[in-house]
Amino acid sequence: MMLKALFRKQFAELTAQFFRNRRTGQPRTRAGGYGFLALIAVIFLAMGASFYFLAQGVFLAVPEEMSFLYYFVIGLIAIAIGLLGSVFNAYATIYNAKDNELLLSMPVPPKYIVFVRVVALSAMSALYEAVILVPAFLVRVIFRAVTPIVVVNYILLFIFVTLFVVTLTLALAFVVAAIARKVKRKSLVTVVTSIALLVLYYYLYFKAQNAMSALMTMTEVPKGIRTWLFLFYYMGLAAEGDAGAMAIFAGATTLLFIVAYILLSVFFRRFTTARRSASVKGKVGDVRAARPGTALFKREMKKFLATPMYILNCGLGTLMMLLAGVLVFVKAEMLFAVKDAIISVFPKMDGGVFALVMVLLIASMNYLTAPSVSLEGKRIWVIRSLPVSTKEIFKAKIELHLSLTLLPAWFLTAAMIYAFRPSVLSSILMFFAVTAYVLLAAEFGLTLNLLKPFLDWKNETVALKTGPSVLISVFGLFLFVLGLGVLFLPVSAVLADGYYILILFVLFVLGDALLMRWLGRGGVRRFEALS
Amino acid sequence: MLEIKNLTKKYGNKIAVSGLSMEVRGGELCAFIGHNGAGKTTTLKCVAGILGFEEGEIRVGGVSVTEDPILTKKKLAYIPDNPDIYDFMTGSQYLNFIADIFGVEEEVRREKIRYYASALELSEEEIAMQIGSYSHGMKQKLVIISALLHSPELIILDEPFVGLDPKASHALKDIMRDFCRAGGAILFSTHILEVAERLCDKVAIIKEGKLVTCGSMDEVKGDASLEEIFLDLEAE
Repeated sequence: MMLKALFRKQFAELTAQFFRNRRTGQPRTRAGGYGFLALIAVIFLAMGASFYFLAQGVFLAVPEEMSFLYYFVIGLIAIAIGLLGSVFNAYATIYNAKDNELLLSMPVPPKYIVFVRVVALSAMSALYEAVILVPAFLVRVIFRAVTPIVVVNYILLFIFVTLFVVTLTLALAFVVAAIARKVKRKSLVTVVTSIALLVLYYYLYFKAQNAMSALMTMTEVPKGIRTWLFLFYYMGLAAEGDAGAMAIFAGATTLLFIVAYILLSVFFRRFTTARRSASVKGKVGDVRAARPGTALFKREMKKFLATPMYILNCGLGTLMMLLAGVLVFVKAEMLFAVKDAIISVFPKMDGGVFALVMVLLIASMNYLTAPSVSLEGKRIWVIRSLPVSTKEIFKAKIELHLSLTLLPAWFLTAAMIYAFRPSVLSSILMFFAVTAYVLLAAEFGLTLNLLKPFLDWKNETVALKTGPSVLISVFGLFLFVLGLGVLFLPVSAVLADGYYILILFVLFVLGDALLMRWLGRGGVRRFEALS
Repeated sequence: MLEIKNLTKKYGNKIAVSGLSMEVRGGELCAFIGHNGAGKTTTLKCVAGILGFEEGEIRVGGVSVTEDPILTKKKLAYIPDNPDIYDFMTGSQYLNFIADIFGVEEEVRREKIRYYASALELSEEEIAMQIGSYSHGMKQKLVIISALLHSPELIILDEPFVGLDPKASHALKDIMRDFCRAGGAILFSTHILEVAERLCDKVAIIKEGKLVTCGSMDEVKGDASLEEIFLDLEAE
């Protein structure tokens, strides 16, 4: 009875994702709900189709006597995708669920709560696995004869791969919860970990192709796979009908799952009810007065530094520009070749516009003002009740964007000039154009957010990720810059890079002035109507 | 100190406050009562300069809220019903931010923070903590301290006792009385009629956006209790 009620609640929570608008929390219309479901189905089908072709490539490359390799590779991909899909969900679903305290106040054993959540997590995980494992099985059916044993083994493989992914996810969620309990600078840890994972992802992505080629040309199973990756080795053998291997893979996976489940159940109450570690900074006596303008800027900066999602979503351009600048300085000779290639096709170009477009594209990764009004949320009363003009508030928001974007953008510009060696006129004008563009991007984001603010969020991520101002800012600026670059291709025959950059600079300054004018009038009116 | 003349505020087609006029003089502690949705918070937000309004005039210390919003905001302090504040700051950072905006001298702010924090029993260690880890009551105390840093002439409080522990609640009443004795004016909304009756010398009752009555506590209630008067007016 109790479990049934818990399952019903969990199911309602799952379906709410489809039939409720994540931004507003309002229920969708029936047509809207089914439309959203259909969209998800189309996305999954498209992903399934692309995995079909991937699986087909792997299947045809693997020699028949090494057929376990097919399942070994497909299984590893399925585990990686399942893990990526579920790991961010697991911590939120199990430890950060809003109804944890409510459920713990009821006569429900924690192991029941964990069990229901794990089942929900497994269902989601199975969905991700299906996107890879179903097309992979179709490939197997189409290209080689299938016996009932192979079908049964494949179904078992599907179940135990899902269980394995859930086990890994639970283990990671456990580690995250344990760290979250202790760590004081949680935002810093989140940002560093996320960037490290991103770097690792790209590293593995670039290495994966070599590893796959090496695997495909194998004539015998290396010792490393039999020892270090023995579980996956048995997974591959099991899928091909080896009952002993299936027993080992299923047994080991089940054992690991039970251990993870027991750990979760035991620590559930401790982790979910732990108070957030309160970081104590300085003393009350540590007082340093600042001008109102500085105080407003510091408020924006504190907000940015304390919100990992803000940094990762809207401020990654700063890091990218610095990294790109260093890379350009170190590997300048590669860009000399690029410049030569450009000049061979467009002989009148000096590389200035190309370099500028590159800088602007990377600078467009910063869109700090686009969610800045929405981020005020329900706390907007604080700033609205203080004796500061709305223009000063806007200035602080724009200053945050400029302070985090201009210096790295100038650094990258210098690096590009070093690598591309455009004319002196182009080089000087590039700095002016970059400066005017960065201001334009800041004003553009703020304008969009004032036109479409969203203050009624319950989770900041919604304000940061789903607002139209953010989406239009990201793609709009990117396409705008790209368009300016493409437009120069035919124009370059009659207009030197320097003059084109001058035109762009004038265009950006005009845009700056227009948006500034609107912000000072319509923008102020809109902000002051918010409460 | 506070003059409201013919205030009308609409949300779309819905009239939230209609033709409301009242006055709170220096030294007066005025309770603003009414049932849920009567228009109390809307009126207080209009006075604080958070909400604009369609008709009427609001003056704080003789200065119009619409003509010089910055100056009127310097003269008043607003404490909302829900102390949603910046959880990305520590208590100390928040107080310094507010003090910076009002241009409060370092020594003055240090002294005031110590005084009011001690009165409301918010320890130095708690003030140095991240606001994200605060309870509702602690946030409320912090907002109250921040509101008093710049020595306002008028304080607007929306349900200030919600979430406060009995001791802090008692301390806040003392602070409010002292503030009015020193010549300041207070307008605060509450549902706790016993507190309003004991604490205030003036009362205003609002019903469906319209002011039903406003006057000294004795004038309004006579020999009856404030609760009886309020319920009678509501029933009409």
